[in-house]
Order: sequence, then C-alpha cells, then structure tokens
Amino acid sequence: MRANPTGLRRRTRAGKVSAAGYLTALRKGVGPLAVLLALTFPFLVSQYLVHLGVLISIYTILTLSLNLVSGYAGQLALGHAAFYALGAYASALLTLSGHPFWLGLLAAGVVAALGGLVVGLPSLKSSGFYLGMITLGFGEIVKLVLLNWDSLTRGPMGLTNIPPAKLWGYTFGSVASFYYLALLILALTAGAVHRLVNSRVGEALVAIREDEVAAKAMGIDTGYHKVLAFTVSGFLAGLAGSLYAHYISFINPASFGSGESFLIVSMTLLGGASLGGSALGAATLLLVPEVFRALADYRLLFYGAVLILLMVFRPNGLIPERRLRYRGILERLRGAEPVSGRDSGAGPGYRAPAEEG
Amino acid sequence: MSLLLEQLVNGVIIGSVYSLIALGFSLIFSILEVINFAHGSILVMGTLIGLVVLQRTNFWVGLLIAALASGLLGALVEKAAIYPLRLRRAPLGAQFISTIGAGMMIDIAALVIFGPKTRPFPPSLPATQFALGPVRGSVVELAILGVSLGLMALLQVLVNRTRFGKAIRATVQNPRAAAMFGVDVDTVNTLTFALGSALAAVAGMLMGVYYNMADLGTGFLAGMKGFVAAVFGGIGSIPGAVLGGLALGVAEDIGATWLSSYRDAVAFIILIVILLVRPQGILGHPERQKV
Amino acid sequence: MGLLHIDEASVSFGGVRALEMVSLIIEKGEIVSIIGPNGAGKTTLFNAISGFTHLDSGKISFDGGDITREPPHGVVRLGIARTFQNLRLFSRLTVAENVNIAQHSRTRSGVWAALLNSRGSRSERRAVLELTADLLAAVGLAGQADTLAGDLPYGDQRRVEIARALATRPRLLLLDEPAAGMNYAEVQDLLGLIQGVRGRGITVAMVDHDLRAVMAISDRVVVLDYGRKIADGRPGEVRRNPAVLRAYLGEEGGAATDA
Ligand SMILES: Nc1ncnc2c1ncn2[C@@H]1O[C@H](COP(=O)(O)OP(=O)(O)OP(=O)(O)O)[C@@H](O)[C@H]1O
Ligand SMILES: [Mg+2]
Repeated sequence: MRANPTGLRRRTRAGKVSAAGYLTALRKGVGPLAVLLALTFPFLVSQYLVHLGVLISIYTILTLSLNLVSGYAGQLALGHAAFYALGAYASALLTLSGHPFWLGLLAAGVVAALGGLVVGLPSLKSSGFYLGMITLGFGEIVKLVLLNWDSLTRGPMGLTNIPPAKLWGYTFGSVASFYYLALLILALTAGAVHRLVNSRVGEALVAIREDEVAAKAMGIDTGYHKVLAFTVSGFLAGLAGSLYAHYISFINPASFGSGESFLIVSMTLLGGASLGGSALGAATLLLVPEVFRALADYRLLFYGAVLILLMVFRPNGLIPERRLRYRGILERLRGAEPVSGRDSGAGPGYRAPAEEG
Repeated sequence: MSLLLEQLVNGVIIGSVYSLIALGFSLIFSILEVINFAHGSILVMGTLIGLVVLQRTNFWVGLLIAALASGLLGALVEKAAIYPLRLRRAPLGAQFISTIGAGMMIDIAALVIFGPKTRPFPPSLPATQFALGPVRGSVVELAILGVSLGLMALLQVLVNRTRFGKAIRATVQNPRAAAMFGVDVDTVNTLTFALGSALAAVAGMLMGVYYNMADLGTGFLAGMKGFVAAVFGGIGSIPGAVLGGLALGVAEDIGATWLSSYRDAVAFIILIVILLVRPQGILGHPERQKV
Repeated sequence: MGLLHIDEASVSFGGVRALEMVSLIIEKGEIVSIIGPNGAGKTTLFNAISGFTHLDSGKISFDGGDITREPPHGVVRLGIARTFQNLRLFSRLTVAENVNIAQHSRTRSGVWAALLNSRGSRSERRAVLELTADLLAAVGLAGQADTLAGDLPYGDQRRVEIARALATRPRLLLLDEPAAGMNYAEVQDLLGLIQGVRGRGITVAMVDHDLRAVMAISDRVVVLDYGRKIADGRPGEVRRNPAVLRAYLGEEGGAATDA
C-alpha cells in the first residue's frame, strides 16, 4: 500500500524514461484496471464466476483483516475463523429475530471486535507461536460454544433461512446484486485498512512487528496497539462473516473450524501485507482449485504445499509491503538543496522543550 | 470406587498418552526451537497405517509399524519443511508456518488414502477386567500405562546413556559448539523429528485401543492436547512433558464433570491460562527479556 | 534540584546483583558518563531508568515525579530517551521511517483521525516529517533517508539511533556505548554531535568504554563496579581515584595515564 504521506505533490522528474519508469507506469495501470474489471465483472462473465467474485471479495476482507494483525503488527493469529463465525452468527441471529440487515452487519462487526479484544489481550503477555496456539485455542473454544449452545445456535444443525441482505428497501437477492454489496464493503474495508496502516497507528504496528523492545523505547504503548489491531481486525472479519451468512443463508459451526483459519492465514501469507496482495492471495487460493478441477479434492494438499514453498522462497508474500520514499519530501520540507552525503552536524533541529516551572 | 479416584485413574491413563505426544513436541522444540504443528497429522497417519497392519496381524506389530511409519514421515517433514528454511536462516515463525503446511498435506494424504470415515479399532487386547484394591482397571488400561511409562523410561535412557542422546544434549546446549565437536547436527535434527513422531504414533495407537476408534479429526485434537501438555509442563523439558500430560489428563477428567459437553475446551482453557500466568510452564525456568 | 534522582536502587538477577544501592543525581544540562568494567551494571542502570527493568528496591524520580514503576513508553513520554548497546534499529525500515516512528509519543492522531484522514492528522504528519528532516540533517544522514537502516554502515546506524532518540524530544538522553565499534574519526564526529545535543538543552548520560572520549566530553564521571557506585566526580578527580584505578583500570592502573 502506498500513500503520499504529506499530501504534498510530488514533483515528477522530467526527461529520462527508464525501464523502471515503465514498470511503475504498468503497476499504476494495474490498480485502475482491476477496479474497472471488478465493477463490470457481472456483465462480463457467467453467474458462477460472479459467485466466485463474491467469495473472493469476502475472503479479501478476511485477508485484509488478518493482515492488520499478522502482516503489519506481526502477531501470529491462527483463530481468525472465530471472528468470522461471531460476525456470521451475530448477524444471522439478529436478522432471524426480525431486525434489519444493517443492524446485523453492524452488530457482526461489534461482536467480532469484542472477540478480537478478548483474543488480543493474551498478546500482552505472549507472542510468536505461543500466541498462535492461544488464538487457535480461542478459535476452538468459540466453535465448541457454537456447537453446544443449542438454545441459541441450534448446535451442529446451524442456522438456516437467514434472510437476504436488504438496504434502503432494496433486497440483494441475486448473485450479481450481492456481488456489488460485497464489493462495496470490501472497498470500505480496503480504504480503512489503507488509511490505518499509513497512519501513526499503522507505523506503531509496524514498529511492534519489527522490534517490540525498540518500539517501547520509541514511546509506543505496544500492548494498547496490539489489542487495538486485534479489535479492528475482529471488526472487519465480523463484517465478512455477516456478508457470508446473508449470502449463503445457511451457517453451521463446521464452516468456521481451524481449517478455515488456516485458509485465511495461507491467503494472507501468500499475498503479503498489501491491498493487492490480500486480493491476490484470496483469489489465488479460491480460484486455483476451481480452475484445476482435479485439484478440488486436494485443496489442502495444494494449500499446504503453497505454505511451505512460500516460507522457503518468498516469506514476505507475492506483493510485500512497500517502503515509502521520503527523501524528496524531506528535502523540500527543509527548503534546502538536495543533500548528498553528509552535511555538518549543526542543523537547526530540535531543542529540548522549555521548562514549565 | 469413588468418583474422584476413578477420575484420577482415568485421567492418569489418558494423561500418559498425552505425555507421549507432549514428549515429541518437547524433544523437537528443545533441539530446533520450533513447534511442529504437523505433529498431530503425523500421529494420525501413523495410527491409520498401524490400524491396517493391526487388522492383519496383532496390536503389537501394528504399534511397531505405526511408530516406524510416523518416524519416517517425521524425518521427511523435517527434511522437506524445516531443513530448507534453516538453510536460509528463515525466522522461527516461518518454520512454524511451514510445519502447518506440512500438516495440511499429511491430513489430506491421509484423507485420500483412508477416507473420511471414523474407523473402528478391533478389540485387539484381552478385555479382562481386574481390581487392585479400590481401583478397577482393564488390561487395555494397563497396557496403555505400561507402554507409555516404559517408553518414557526408555527415552530417559536414550537421552542420558547413549551416543545419540549425548549428541542430542550437546545440540540442545549449543548447536554450533556441538557441530564443532563433530556432532552431525543435521542428522540429529532429523532423527529427533523421527523419534518425536514415532512417539506420537504410539500415542495414537494407544488412544485407538482406548477409544476403540481412530479418525482424522482426532489428530488435530490430539496434537493440540499434546502441545498443551508440553506447555503445561514447561516446553523443552522431558519430565515437564510427562508431568504436563498427566496433569492435563486428570484436569480434563475432572473438568468434564462440570462442563460435560466442553470436555475438549478444558485443554484450551488450560493452554490460555498457563501461557498467560506462567508461560514457562510448571517446570520451566522463566525466560528473561533481553534488552 | 537535579533532573534525575536515583535513590538506593537495587536490581538482582537470580544470584547476580546487577545494581546495589546505587544513588545518583543527574543535573540539568550536564553530560555525565557512567563507566565501569564489563558486567558492572551500567546497562542495567539504563534499563531501570527507562522502565525496561524493575527495581527490587529503591526509587527513581525524574523532574520531581516518581518514575520507578513507569512503563517504557511512559518514561519516553515524560522525556527520557535511550539508545541500545546492541543497536536496535528497525533495520528493515528506512532511516526516515525509523525517525518518524520515534515521534509517536509526541503526536496524538488515533484510529479515528486516521480513518477520517482528518486535517489535524495531516498537519501533524507534516510536522513529523519536518522534524525528521531536521534531525537527519543534524546527524548528517539527510541523503540516506530512504536507505534501509540495516544497510547502513555501523557508525551511521549509531547516528540513526541517536536521531531516533532525539526524535522522541527528550530532556534526558541515555546513550549506551554510542562509540562502540567506531573508528577514531567517527568517535570525534560523535563527540561533536553529543556536544551539539547538549547545546540544544538536552541532558546527556552516556556509558562508554572509550576513556579518552569520556574524559574529554564529560562534566562528571560516575564509576560502577559489581553493581556499586565507587566514584562520582569530575573527570580529573575520578581519574586519580585509587578505588577506580584498582577496580576499573587494573592492578597497575597503567592505562589511567594514557586516558
Ligand atoms: N536480563 C538479565 N538476566 C540475567 N542477568 C543479567 C541480565 N541483565 C544483566 N544481567 C547481569 O547483570 C550484570 C550487569 O550487567 P550489565 O549488562 O548491566 O553490565 P554492563 O555494565 O552494561 O556491562 P557491559 O560493559 O558488558 O555492557 C551482569 O553480571 C549481567 O550478566
Ligand atoms: Mg552494557
């Protein structure tokens, strides 16, 4: 994800057009093209592909959400399906008891965010695969509760006849219309994640990922930010859960097991910590088994192999997080000539704050 | 037999199986500092292979073949999913993820070979019951306890009395120094994986005769519980793994009386609590934050 | 009234007494050096001040307020920054990012500001980048803003650490062996930089093994040995202190005259 961190216009250098320039142009072209394709998708292809488009949108939301915790904040979370489940159940239960969809969607986010908060608390004391196993444990506990709280969740039978999504009197009954709803929520999610990771908060998350001790020494309340990442991540996964419930109209605990969590983890790792990567990761792992039908039964075999190969050859994913370039901006802010090499040690710089009393 | 005593006995029996699984986790962790997430999957694969052999021969041959098969599989996982990452100095997190990948592959291979059905374990040990004072037990339970405790004792001897054990201990202390003194660290890594995996398969077979069945789902849970037991006792510690397994077994049996349908949640709750309250486990030493 | 008061601070790790009843006052505007043999407890002292290690007993106060139990991020907010003996840069982030991140405690924009991309958060961002630009220029690394911190030569990494610590806008700066691994010319540069920092009104406490440098720059030298404070005074006094010669400079004390 890239941002223009100051809002200052970047001056383009006139003259030479290099190979790198073309590549950048190409990369810049990919984004709008993808957006255009996404928008016209239902008019171009069969209903089945649009259905896959809905799933890809939902899983991209999940992947973005997990990226916040794992990709940016660097916390291993293996129970993401739990938030997905909480959102799905919250939204389904509310709408089944007659409440409107928008309330279900919102509640899905809030309930899952609370789940995220609870799951995030252990990250205060634990990290690495220990945290991974804790989050996995939480995921399993949520699933066990869904299985056993019959009176509310109807246990293994699950919830059926979940009403379709309805906003402002419009029912998203068809696959194509639901596709646009999913795309809208995805766009909002992507925008939110984009802004967040490029903000002071996002910076703090990255600092925690890179070196938690150093992050503390930089004045970052690491505990607060980790829990925050889990909470926001939970919220977003909850939205995805709500979408799923109203799209498929049937949910049961089996849809939200550890296999589902690992699928989301695989997608996140495959794509890398970026918006493009999240979409690519989700789409690849959903589509490859579809394209190679023979593979469909062996999905996990494929996912597993992908995980190992990734960790060996491309541990940061297909589209890793990009570093922002600051030099030009900093030079302009100083109003100085472009600096090369070292200058004197006596810049204006910062002075100790004047004392108060 | 009083309820508490019965729970205690049941807990110890199933707990000794958890201990075996935990030992695998701990052995591998103490050498490679990585949690082998494929542990449960390796356990299931070995158990299902062992079951096929058992149906044609007897329990003990099945047990042996299960251990061999899982040992081989464990070595393969180390070579395919860990070794290439260590070569590239990949972080431990990446190695952990890689074992998740390996676990998924083994799960699906087991699914393709053996099908999704739960498989009954034929009665392969005498069903004789007996009483020992106030404690009632069966031959099956005695066998489970005997095999587990026997293997733990054997493992102690292996680690403390043999050349391989010496190599393991040297590698745990300091891999680089061990390599300098002629220990083939790569081989130690692979063999440790094989050893831990073989123990897991034995545990799987014991659970099979105990519950009279085996299926794919048990692998994940068994793996998780073994991990919990290992962490409970203090990961990397052999006595800790034994103690953690027994404690988990008993806790589960007692916990189940309160939360019958949440029996499996007991392990997860213990995991969360122990990692938060005493992450180094019962017997572990607190890790110091290095600044 | 000193800026930092350490009052009978003790820390032990298992059997090792890393600090034992150490009392120390750091005055405003000073450059104080803390020296002592390996394992004397210097880093532990810094860890205790910066909130990374808890005291077993004793008290630390900064500018009149008790900070004994303050967590590291709170200490930074109050105005104490530190560097690490073993560099702890965000080595996979760029130099500019390292310095930006360090301004965390001096900025406020939270989640909502970020999501709404509020005016406040944008102008705050601009101020952050301005300070980063100034600090990088001050440490002579303006041209390296987009270099990954881990790719810099060692001496420059130390400079980034200092820039990053300054970016937290401290009133007290703790430097743990800032000259380690530097050659003579780099050390001279560094001393100039530290003088400059003091010139900006920032109090400096540093640990170093380069006695020549320490004696040259410090207003005061504190000597630790086995966790105890054995001397505290002007460089010239400390250099002649027999206890210091014995404990720190070896039996003959031959190195003392060198330094
Ligand atoms: N986290 C810790 N756990 C255990 N012991 C520690 C820890 N930190 C420091 N120590 C011990 O405390 C004593 C003081 O260590 P410290 O790092 O403060 O010394 P130092 O003066 O900074 O030494 P050096 O010049 O080598 O940096 C040493 O004996 C060290 O081994
Ligand atoms: Mg030190």
